[in-house]
This record gives sequence, C-alpha cells and structure tokens, in this order.
Amino acid sequence: MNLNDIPVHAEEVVSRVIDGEAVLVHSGQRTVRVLNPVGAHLWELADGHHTAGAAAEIIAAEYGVDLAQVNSDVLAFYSDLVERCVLSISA
Amino acid sequence: MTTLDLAGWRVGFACHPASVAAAFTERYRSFLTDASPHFGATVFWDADAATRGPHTEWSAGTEVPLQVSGNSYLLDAPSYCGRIDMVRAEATFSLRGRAPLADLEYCVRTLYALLADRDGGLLMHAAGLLAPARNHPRSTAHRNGHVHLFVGNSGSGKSTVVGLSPHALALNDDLVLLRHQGEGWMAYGTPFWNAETAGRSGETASGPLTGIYRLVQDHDVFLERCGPAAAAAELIANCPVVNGDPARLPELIARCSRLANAVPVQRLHFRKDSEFWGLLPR
Repeated sequence: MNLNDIPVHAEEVVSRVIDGEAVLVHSGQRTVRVLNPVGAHLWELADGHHTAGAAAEIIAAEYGVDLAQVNSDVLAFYSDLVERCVLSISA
Repeated sequence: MTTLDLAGWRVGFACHPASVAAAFTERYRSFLTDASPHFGATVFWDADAATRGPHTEWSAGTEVPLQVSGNSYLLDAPSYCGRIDMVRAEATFSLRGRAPLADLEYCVRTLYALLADRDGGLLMHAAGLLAPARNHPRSTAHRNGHVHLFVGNSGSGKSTVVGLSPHALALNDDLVLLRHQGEGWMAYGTPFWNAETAGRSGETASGPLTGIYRLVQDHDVFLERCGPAAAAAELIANCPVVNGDPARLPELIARCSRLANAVPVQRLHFRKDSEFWGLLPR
C-alpha cells in the first residue's frame, strides 16, 4: 500500500460511529471491531475519494503532528484493515 | 399442531411423522401454550434419508449462513434445509439427519432470532440469571428479582456462572430473548440449553434486565466499564443469525447501541467462585 492508494470500505462491512468511536461489523466474518476516535476519523476518510496521503494530511493538520510520522501510521493502519478484509483499495 | 411460546412469540409446529411431534412436545413442554400462534412451521423428517445418508454430524452451535431469496430465508445444512417466509409468517423445515430434534432445534433458534429482530427484540448468546433481591430467598425472585446477562464466546464461562449461582433462577446458559418494554428491557428464558446442561432444559424464568456482563476469566474479581462503542460491539457480536445479515446490520447496531444506553454493559473479571455476585446490584 502507498500514499496514492484510495481505500474504501469493504462491501460486507457495516459501520456506525458511536460517541466518537467506530463500530465495524463484517457480516461474512461475523467479526466486530471498534476503532478509537482517530481510527474512526480515518475510517470515515476511507470513502473511495481520499487517498491515504490526503487522509494523512488531514489528520496531521487536525492534530498538529509531523506529517512524515502520520504518513507512516496511516499506511500501517490502512494496511492492517486491508489485511483484515474490512477495507479494500479502490481500483 | 404444537405451539411454542418464547417471550410472547408463538409459533405453531406441525411435525411429521408422529414420533417427531411427540419428541418435540416432550422437549419443549415447559414452553408450550394453547394460545393461537402468530407463525406456522411445518416440519418433515425423512427417516429413510437419515438411514441411507452420509454420516455427517452437525455439531450444536454451528451456524449455517442464511441465504436470502425474496421474502424468504433459506437454510441449507448437511442434515436439514428450510425456508422461513417472514411476510407469510410460515416456515418449512426438512430434516434428513439421524438426530432430527437436534437439527430442528437449530431451525427453531434461527426462526426465533428472526422473529425477535423483526419486532425490535434480540436473541442473544448469553447466560441469564434472575436473582432475588439481596437477602431475599430464591423463591421470591419472580416477584422482586432482576435479570443479569453474562455474555461471551463458547468456553467463556456462561455455564460455569449458572452453576455457581444456585440462589438464582436460570433463564438459560446459552441463549436468551430480549424485548424492549416501556423504559427498559425484559429478558426471557429459552429452551436452548447447552448440551452439557440439557438436564435443566425444563427451567424457565423472565424478568427486567438490570445488567449485562462480558465474562473475562481472571485471578481477580472486578468490574470494568465498557465505553458506548465497545458495549455495542460486545452485544452485536453475541447476536447470532442477524449479525451475519448485511441488510439487518444497520438496525442491529442501532438497537444494540440503544440497549447499551439503557442497561449497563461491563466486563466482569471473575474466577470460579461466587464472589462476583458481591459486585452486582441486587
């Protein structure tokens, strides 16, 4: 995965943000995950329009942290969700 | 026809042949009613197919994905198949295994999960205990008791908790039905006991739901608060059948979130003794 990739929610996943955290339910796996507020924001940015790099820029600006570090964290976060089949990369 | 009444949802079962009907009546005798059913189910057992069929055993608790076809849900497992039509309020189950009652029980559980979901309720993987008010005897639980639900995966200790609670009436050690009533939720017993506790299958109870506890086996005994999202997630993960249907998930998530707002959801760290009862409100 790289910063130009565009992540998008997997079709089998239904999600809802509750009190700032995101609940993700994968109907095929019957798994349920909870993302913390930063993860929930990144989840909402995985909308099929934002690249991973664009999402990292938004997070870096919002939290006032170093972009290089955020780039690395965002790629690791999205890659993990892709491995778990709750995110896919938009073609 | 034999009518089963679980949490007020009444389903009439016409079972064929008569041997299956008799076994059904015996198995569910504590939950039968003479009132007219809201839903009809026809059950056929092909004993010949069971004799010549493969020796496939479908272990209790194994969940078969539901297929959706129009207004119907289709079940298809090695030893049974069925169709549940929620609009026409009717179902047909065909059994072809050597243990027709065990197969039928899976069908009944699936049907009740869908009925509960349709009417805003929940079938939840949980042990339920109706505890009498503190310093009151067990016999008063029906009048003054409150229900505590203990959720968790297989092996988390649900049956253990029931065994450690002789002062309380057991709703079930595996599956409990919930209905929203007034400002709160009511919990109802079911006949769907774990195999190792099937001897208690005649027990039943119901009462207002007071607390929900995710079981965590530990050396120490304490309660740990769940945040709103984690609480909803714990509940969703323990709603069989419905949590595998993408079309029903948005409402399931919303419903579990409402339940978690109405009833405290906490992680209960416990060990194999009854000390945890000292932490629960009664």
